[in-house]
Amino acid sequence: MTAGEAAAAAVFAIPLFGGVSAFSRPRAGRAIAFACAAVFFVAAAALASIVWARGPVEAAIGGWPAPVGIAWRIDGPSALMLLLTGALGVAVTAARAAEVGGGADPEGRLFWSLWLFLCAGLAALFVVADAFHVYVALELVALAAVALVALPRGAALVAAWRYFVATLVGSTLYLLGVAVLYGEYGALDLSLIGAEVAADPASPAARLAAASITAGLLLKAAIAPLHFWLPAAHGRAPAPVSAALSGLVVAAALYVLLRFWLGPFSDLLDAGVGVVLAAVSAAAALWGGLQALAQRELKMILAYSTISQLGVAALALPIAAAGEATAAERGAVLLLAAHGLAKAALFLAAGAIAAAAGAPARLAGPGGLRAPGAAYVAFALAAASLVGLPPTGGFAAKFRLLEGAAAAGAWIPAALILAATALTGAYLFRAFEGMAPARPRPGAGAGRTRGLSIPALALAAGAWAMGFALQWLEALLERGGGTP
Amino acid sequence: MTLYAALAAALFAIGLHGVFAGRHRLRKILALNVMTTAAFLLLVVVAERADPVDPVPHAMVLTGIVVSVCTTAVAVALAGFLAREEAGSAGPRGGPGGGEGALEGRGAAEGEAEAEGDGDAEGEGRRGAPPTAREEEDRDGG
Amino acid sequence: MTAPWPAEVAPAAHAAGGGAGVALIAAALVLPWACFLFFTLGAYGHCARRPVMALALALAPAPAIAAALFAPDGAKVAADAFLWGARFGADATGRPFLLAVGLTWALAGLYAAGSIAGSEGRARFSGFWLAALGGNVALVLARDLAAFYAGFAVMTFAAYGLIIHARERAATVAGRVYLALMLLGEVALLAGIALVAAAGGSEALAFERAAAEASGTARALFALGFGIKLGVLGLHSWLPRAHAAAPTAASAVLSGAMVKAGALGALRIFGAPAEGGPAELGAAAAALGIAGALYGAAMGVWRGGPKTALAWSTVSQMGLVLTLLAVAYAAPEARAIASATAAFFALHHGLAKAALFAGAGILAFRLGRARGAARAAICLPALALAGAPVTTGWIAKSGLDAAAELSPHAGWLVPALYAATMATTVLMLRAVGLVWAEPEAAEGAPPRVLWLAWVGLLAAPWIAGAAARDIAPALKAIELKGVLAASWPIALGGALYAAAVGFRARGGRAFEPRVEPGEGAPRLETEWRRARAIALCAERALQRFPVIGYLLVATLAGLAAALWP
Repeated sequence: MTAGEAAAAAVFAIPLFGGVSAFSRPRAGRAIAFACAAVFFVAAAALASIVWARGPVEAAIGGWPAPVGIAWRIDGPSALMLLLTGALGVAVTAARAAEVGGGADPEGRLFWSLWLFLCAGLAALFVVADAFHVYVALELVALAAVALVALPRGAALVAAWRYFVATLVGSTLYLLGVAVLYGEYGALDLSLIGAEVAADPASPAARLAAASITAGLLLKAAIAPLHFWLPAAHGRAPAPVSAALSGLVVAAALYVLLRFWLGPFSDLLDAGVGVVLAAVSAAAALWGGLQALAQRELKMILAYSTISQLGVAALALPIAAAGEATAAERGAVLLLAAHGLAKAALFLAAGAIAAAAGAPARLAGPGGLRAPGAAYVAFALAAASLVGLPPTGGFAAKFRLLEGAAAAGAWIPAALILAATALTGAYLFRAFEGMAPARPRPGAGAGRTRGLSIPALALAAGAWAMGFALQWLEALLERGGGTP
Repeated sequence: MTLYAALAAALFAIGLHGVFAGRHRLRKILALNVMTTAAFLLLVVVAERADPVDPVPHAMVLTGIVVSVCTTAVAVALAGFLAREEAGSAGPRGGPGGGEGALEGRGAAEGEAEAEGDGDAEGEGRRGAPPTAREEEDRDGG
Repeated sequence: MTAPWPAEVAPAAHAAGGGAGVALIAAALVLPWACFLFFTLGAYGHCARRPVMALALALAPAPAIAAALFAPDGAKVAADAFLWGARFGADATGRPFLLAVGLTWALAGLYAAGSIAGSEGRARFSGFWLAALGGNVALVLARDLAAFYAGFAVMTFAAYGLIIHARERAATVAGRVYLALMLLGEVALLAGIALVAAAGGSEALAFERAAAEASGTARALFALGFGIKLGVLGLHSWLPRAHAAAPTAASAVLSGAMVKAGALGALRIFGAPAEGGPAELGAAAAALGIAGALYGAAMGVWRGGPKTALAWSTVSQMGLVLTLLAVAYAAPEARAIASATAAFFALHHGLAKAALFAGAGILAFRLGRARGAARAAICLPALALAGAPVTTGWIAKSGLDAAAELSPHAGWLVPALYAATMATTVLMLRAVGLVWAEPEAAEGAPPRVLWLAWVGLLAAPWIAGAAARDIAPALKAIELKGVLAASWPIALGGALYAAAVGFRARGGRAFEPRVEPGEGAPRLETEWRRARAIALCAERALQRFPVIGYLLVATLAGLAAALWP
C-alpha cells in the first residue's frame, strides 16, 4: 500500500469508524469528532501534496481491477475538494462544539455520528471512480444530510422532508441512468464508460443515460428551477449544519455533474446541450440572486446565494461546450472551493450574529442588526471573496471562468457571470449595510458568539489565502483533471 | 425483454407522478419505492440480456435494495415525526407522544409560517394569514 | 502559470534597484496592512487612543512617500505568490501619484486621528481607512492589471466603510449610490481584464503589453471603469453625495487620493498608444471633460453646503484631468506634456482639495482669535485650484494650456479652458464664502493635531511641487505662463462672482443655495416593494410539489431533446 492509497483509505475510513464509535460512545462524541476532523484534514493535505508531486493516485480495492472491482482515483480536482472538506470539517466541528457549549447536548450522540457519516460519504464521493458507487456515496451523503437538517425537529422537519424527496428523486434518476449505461456498455468505471461513449457518441442509450443522470444531479445540486428544497433546508438548519450543507453537500453534487460532463460524456457535450445547460445555469444564477436580494433573513439570503453561486459554477458546462473545457473545469472547481470556504464563513458569521442577539438574524434597515466585531470582519472578508474581489479565491475562479468564456467566444455565459457578480454584490451589500459592528455583550451568548466567529474568520482568511496560493492550486488542478 | 424495459419505464413514470402529485406523505414514500423498483427492474433486464447471466447487476440490485430499505426507513421516520408534530399543533388531541408532541407541534406551526414563506414572514409579500400546517400539507399535495 | 514578466528581468531589476529601494517599496505595501491587522485584531478601541491612532494613520503611508522620492525606477518587489505573480515598483508615471497618495493619506490621517479618535467606532474607521490606504498604495505601485485591479477593488470597497461612517440617512443613500456605481465599474474592469487575458494569457496583463494589445471592447470597458472612479460627467452622481456624507478626513482622501486611481489607470492604458488614438474620440473625450468642468462648477455654485461645493469642484477638476488624458491619447505631439501635467494635476489637486476639506472642518470648531488666520489660510488652496501664480495651480494650469495649444483642437480647447478657469474661480470663491459663513461652534476648540494636519496640508503643495519636478522630469518642459496671463481669468471670475453677489444682495435669487435631495425617491421604493412581492410570490409558486414535477419533467425532456442524436 503506497502512501497515497493509505491517505485515501484514511479520509474515507476514519470518519466512518468515527461515526460508529461516536454513536456507541456518546460522551466521547465531541472528542472523536475533533480527532477525526483533524486526521481527515491532515490526510487530505497529505493526499493533495502527493497528487501535486506525483500525479493522480489510483487504487483498486482488494486488488480487484476496474471492470469487476471498485476503482479509486484521486486527481487534482478531487484532491482539492477533499482538502475543502477537511478544512470545513475542522471549522464546522469547532463551531458546533462552541455552539453547544459546555452544557448538556441531547442531540450530541446523533449529531456527531451523522456529521462524521456525512464526511465519510463526501470522501467516498470524491474518491470513487465508479458510477454505481458514486450512487451509494450520494445516498450516504443525502441520508446523513437529511437527518442533520431534521435534527432540531419542529419547523426543520418540513424542510428535511422536502429535501429528502428532492434528493431521493435525484438519486433514483441517477441510478436509472447508471442502469442504462451498464446495459449499453457493461461497464461502471468512469474511464471505461468514457472510452465506450467516445467510440460511439451517437448511441441513444448513452444520451438517455446522460439526460437522466444530469437531471438527477441538477436536482441534487439545487440548480433552479429545481431548487425548491434548498432555501428552507439551509436556512432553517443550525449555523454549522448550514455551513456544511451549502459549502460541501450541494457542491459535491455539482462536482459529480462536472466530472460526468467533462469526463465520460465529454463527447456528447455539443452546442445543443450547451444551450439547455446554459439556460438552467442562468436560471439558477439569476433567480437565486434575485431571491437573495428579496430576502430579509440573513440565513435565507445566504441560502439563495448558494443557488446563485452554484449556477455560476454550472456555467462552466456551456463554456466547456464552446470548446474551453480545461479553463472551465479549473474555474468551476476553484469556484466550488472558494464558494465553500466563503459561504461556510458567512453562515457561521450569521450564526454568531444570531447567537449574540439571541434571535434569528434579520435585516431591519441600515445598521439595524448588531454584529459582534469578529463576525462583522469575517462577514466582510468572506463577502469580498463571494463577490469575486481580487485577490481572493473567488476572484481567481470567476476570472478563470470569464477568461475561458472569452477565449471560447461564449459571450452569453460571460455576460451571465458578470450579471451574477453584480447581483452577488447587491445582495451581500444589502446584508452588510444592515449590520453595524457592536461590542458583544458579556453573557451567556458570548462564548457561543466567539466560538462561531473564530472558525468563520479562519474560513474567510482561507478564502483570501487561495489568492496567494493560486499557482500551487492551479498546478494541483492540472494533475490529471479532465478525463478521469 | 423490451416489454420488461417498457414496464420499467412505465413504473418510473408512475412513481414520478406519485411523488409530485400524491397528497399523502405515505403515498409519496411508496411512489419513491416504485421509482427505485423501476431502476432495479431495468438492471435485472440488463443482467438477463447477457448470455451467461451477468452477476454484476444482481450485486447492484442487492446493494440498491439495502440502500432503499435505509432510505425508506428514514422516510417513514420523518413522516412519523411530521405527523406527530401536526397532531400536536392541531390542538389537545395530540396522539402518542403526548405533551412533548404538543409542545414541538406549536413550534412547528410557527416555524412553518416562516419556513414556507421563506423569509418573507414580515408580511410585505404576504396576503392574508400565514399558512398553517394544514395548508402546508395542501401545498405538498397540490 | 508563469509570472507576467520574463524571468531574467526580475534579477536584473533587483540588482539595478538596490536593496534600499526594494525595501522601501515593500514597506510601502506592507505597513498599511500591518497597521490594519493591529486595529482589527487589537479590537474595539482600547488600542485606538488618539496618539496611537495618529501615529499609525500618519506613519502608515510614510514609506510610500519615501518610495516616491527615493526608490529608483528599477527597484521592483516580486510577489510571485500573489495571484499569478505580480511586480510592484515606482515608475515615472506612477511617482507623482504615489507622492500625492502618500502625502494626502498621511496628513489626512493626522486629521482623522484628531477628529475621529474621540468617537465611537474609531477602530472600525481606522480599519477601513488602512485597508483603503493599502489598496491605494498597491494600485499605484502595481505594474500589471491584475495587481492594479486588486488594489483598486480593495480601496473602493473599503472606502464604502468610510463613507457610511456617520450612519445617517444621507450617508446610507450616498453609500448605496457609491456602491452601485462602483460595482458597475468593477464588473466592467473585470470583464476588460478577462478579455485581455483571454487574448494573450496572463502575461498580457503587464501594463506595457495591455496598453498595446487591449481590444476595442476591452478599452471601452476600461474607460467605463476608470470613468466612474474619476467622476466623469454622466458617471459622477456618486461623487458629490459621498463627499458630502463622509467624515471630513474621508472626503479629503476620497477627493485627494482615491479618485485619482481612475486617472492613473487611464494614463497607464490610454496614455501611450503606439500611434495616436482616433482624433474624433480624443475630441469627444476632451469635450466631455470641459463639459464636466463647467457643469461641476455650476452645480457647485448652485447646490448648498461647503462640502458639497468642494465635492462638485472635484467633479469639475477631474473634468480638466479628463481633458488632459484625452489630449495625451489622441495627440502624439502633445503627449509628453499632457501626461506629465495630468500626473502633476492629480498631485496638486489632491493636496489642495484635502487642505480645503480640512480647513472647512476646522472652521466649524470654535477658534476664537485664530479664526481670522484660518479664514485667510483657507484661501491659499482655493487660489491654488483656481491656478493663481506662485501656487502649484500655476504649474498645472500652465501645463494644461500648453498641452491644449499643442493639440489639434486648440481652436476651441484654449478658450474653453479659460472659461473653465473662470468657472473654477467662481466656485472657489463660493466655496470659501460658504465655509466662512458656517456658524462657529459654541465651544470645543480643535485638538492640536488637527492644526498640525492642516498646516501640513497647506504647506505640502509647495514642497511636493518642488519635488515633483525632480521625480517626473517631463514636468520641466512646462513653461510657466506670465503672471498677468495667469491672473486675468481669475480676476474676471472674481468680478463675475462679485457681480452675482451684488445681484443677490439686491434681492436676486440666483445664488439661493439649494439643498441636495438626500432622500431616495419614494417612488423607487414603492416599485422595489412591489417587485419584491412579485418575486416572493413567484418563488412560492415554484415551491409547490406539482409545479416542481412539471419542471423536472420539462428539464428531463429538454435535456433528452437536446441530446437526441
